[in-house]
Amino acid sequence: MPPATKRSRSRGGGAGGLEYISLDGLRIDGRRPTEVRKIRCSLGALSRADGSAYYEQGNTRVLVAVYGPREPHSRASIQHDRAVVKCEFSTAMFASPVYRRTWKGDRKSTAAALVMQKAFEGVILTASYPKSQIDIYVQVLQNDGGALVAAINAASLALVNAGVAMSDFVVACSVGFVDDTFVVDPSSLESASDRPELTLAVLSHSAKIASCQLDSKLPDGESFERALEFATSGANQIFKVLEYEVRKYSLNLLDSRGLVAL
Amino acid sequence: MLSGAEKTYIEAGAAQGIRADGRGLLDLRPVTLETSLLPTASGSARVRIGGVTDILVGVKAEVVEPHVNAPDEGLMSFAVECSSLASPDFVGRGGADLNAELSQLLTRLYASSATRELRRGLALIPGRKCWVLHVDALVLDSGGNLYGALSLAVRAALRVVTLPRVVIIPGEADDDDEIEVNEEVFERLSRSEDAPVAVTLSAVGGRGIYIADSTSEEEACAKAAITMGVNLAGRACGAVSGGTGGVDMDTLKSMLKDAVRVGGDILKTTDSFLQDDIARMESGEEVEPVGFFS
Repeated sequence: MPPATKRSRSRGGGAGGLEYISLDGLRIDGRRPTEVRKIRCSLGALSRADGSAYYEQGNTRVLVAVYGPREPHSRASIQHDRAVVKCEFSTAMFASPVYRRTWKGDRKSTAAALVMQKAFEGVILTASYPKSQIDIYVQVLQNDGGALVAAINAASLALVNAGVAMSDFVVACSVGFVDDTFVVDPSSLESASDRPELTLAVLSHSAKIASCQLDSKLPDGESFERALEFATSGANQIFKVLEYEVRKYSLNLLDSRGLVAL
Repeated sequence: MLSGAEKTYIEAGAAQGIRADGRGLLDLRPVTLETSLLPTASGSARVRIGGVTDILVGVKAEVVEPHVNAPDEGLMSFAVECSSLASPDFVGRGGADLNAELSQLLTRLYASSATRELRRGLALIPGRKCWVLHVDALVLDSGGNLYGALSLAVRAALRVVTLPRVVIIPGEADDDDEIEVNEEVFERLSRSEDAPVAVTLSAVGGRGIYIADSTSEEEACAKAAITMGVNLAGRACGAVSGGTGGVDMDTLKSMLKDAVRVGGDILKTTDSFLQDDIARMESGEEVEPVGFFS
């Protein structure tokens, strides 16, 4: 019997004896435990929205549109001193590997939308837009794990694209726990409902935590701290990519207005 | 929402045979077509018209029991969702009516006898096993001619669908046959070229004036619209009329004739593109993606 199989068995392994971390310390897709998946993104992917972003993290792909600040649809939701932030999270029916009919507003989507709404309400300078509404719409096109993480990161970019004033930049990252190892940005293969997973949204400049969700339990309190460290380091990796994209986008914008020569 | 002046401008222009964006009455906007961009789907396509209308279609397949009325045919189910990305009006249940209307259009286009051979190709064991194709479309952005863009995207996705080869293992009795799905060999659908495309002609302004591939502004001032399903054989497979006004019989006749012609052109152009695309994919050559999937 090859030693690799033996090791994974002795550790309990995953479903069907799948080995998540090889002897070389690499994950199934060849990443190191602290590495996030490849990120690609672009700002202004849609024509009608006030701001939009397309975001890809590995095989997870999302589109986010921002409408507003605009007049609220219902009078009841008007706040006279600030803007209200509304969020909708929906997943395309072909997004997951198995065919599943999904509906807008199922429990998981509503929970995800709420997390985003809370996180962004904290950073958008809502007091600058009294009596208005800012909508963030998420469409998951493909889900290979970490759809919420991708949605939060994409929404940050879309808000930048819409020119909404923010005090900070929200970056999210998740951490999984497989084979007694923390893995940053787990793919769908590495995340399962019975395995702990921490999703963290941090504010990149003030390093405050905007949202923190832990699914399933970790072995002890100390490992929670470790998980937070891993998630923060992952978020920092992601932020570098997003910051680069925003800078590139802003320079292009300035260039197109003749304000700076590239 | 269109002002009176804008409406007059569009109508007067159409009467002169020229439109706001410089097109002739039956000219189409540039179409961008991309295929096989979703690795989780059996087939997928994205169509953009004029850089505005944006449709993404994913096809997934499952083995199910065929319908009792058509035991030797496979099934196709269509669902369209207008994403909130396209307009805040679609938030929550806001797009439900339009979703139903668009899904119904596709169901009608593919229910005709013109696509029977395509459905037959999905049969596995008559009366017991067949493929069902779940065709799901997402409207990401809308800027007129939704029907046309939607039907084109669905057709392109079906053209590139690959299903795993199925072997039928004969059983002892006649109804004992079992199937085995070979996940290593993939085959394209037979007769997917039969799939139709929808052409909408909208009557604007004076008598006998109508336009193809209308923008959302032009749609807003159209008195009536006729949507026709057209296939490669130049046959009409289903027609729907829309709009609040009506057209006279002579205009309707010439509209139907022109719809078949315009549809035929679209089919010819997209098919030559799709064939190149498929040939490139089969030769293993990398296809340079465009748009946000690049």
